[in-house]
Amino acid sequence: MRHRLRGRKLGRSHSHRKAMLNNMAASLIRTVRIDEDDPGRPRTPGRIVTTVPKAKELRPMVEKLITLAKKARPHEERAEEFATTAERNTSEWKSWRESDQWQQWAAARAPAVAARRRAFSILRDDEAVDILFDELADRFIDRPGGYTRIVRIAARRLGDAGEQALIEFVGERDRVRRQSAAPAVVPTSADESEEEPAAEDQAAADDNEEMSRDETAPEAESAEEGAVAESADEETEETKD
Amino acid sequence: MAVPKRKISRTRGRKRRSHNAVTPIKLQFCPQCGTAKPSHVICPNCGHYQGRTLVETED
Repeated sequence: MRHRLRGRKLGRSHSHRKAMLNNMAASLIRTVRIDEDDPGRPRTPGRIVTTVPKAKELRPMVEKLITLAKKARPHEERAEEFATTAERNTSEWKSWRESDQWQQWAAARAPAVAARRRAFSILRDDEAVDILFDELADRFIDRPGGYTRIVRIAARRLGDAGEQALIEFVGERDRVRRQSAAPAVVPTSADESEEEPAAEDQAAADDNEEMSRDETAPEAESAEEGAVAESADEETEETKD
Repeated sequence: MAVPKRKISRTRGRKRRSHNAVTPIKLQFCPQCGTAKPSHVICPNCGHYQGRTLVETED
């Protein structure tokens, strides 16, 4: 019985699975910073395409990394007041390095450094750790979790026809909030005479599409169309009788 | 080696397979471009999903 067993094995041994997910996390984070000159750069920043189960396994991992980076943020800020702007190995820097201030700076920064090392132990990639702590932590500082989204793709994977999905950081291409519905336009007699013939042609097609439209299109236009289609339906029923 | 004693008759084989039929998946229509697509999936034609374009398609 597999009661209360969490996680997917993904057909891999523990170490294989762990290595793969770590690599995937590093790959996903690295896509945030794109080198424009690189011919093999990712097409869209902050996104990778993989299979649905892999994406679902990756998601909590990446989100925990971001939480880790966010938790390091206050320590870094507290260390700022003891920091120096002097160039390394200058006399000013050396006096700061020997002073009590450095001790305080290092002590204040220690938890942040520990967090960075923990992140590095998973990601094994300096650039990814930098992006995670400098960009992603700032970007999601006000968001209480839910930093990634997974969306299915219609195309199946070549070879095993696996279901594909993209996993990306939220903040870009977000769903537009549904506005309160615009006041319904009262069709005038002139409108009706214009729209009716077209509506009758469309009535059959509208029937098929009505399900999908009800879910997805809250605009006033489609609502109006739907109303017209309904009236058209009633008419056809009447003629049948 | 263990071997079947009898040939499986046409009727018997067909009876067994009477429950093996695969039903076609229900397709939805993209509200943006009207392409038939599986539900809960980014439109393969225009990259539209739930009110915004997620995948830019080169036109």
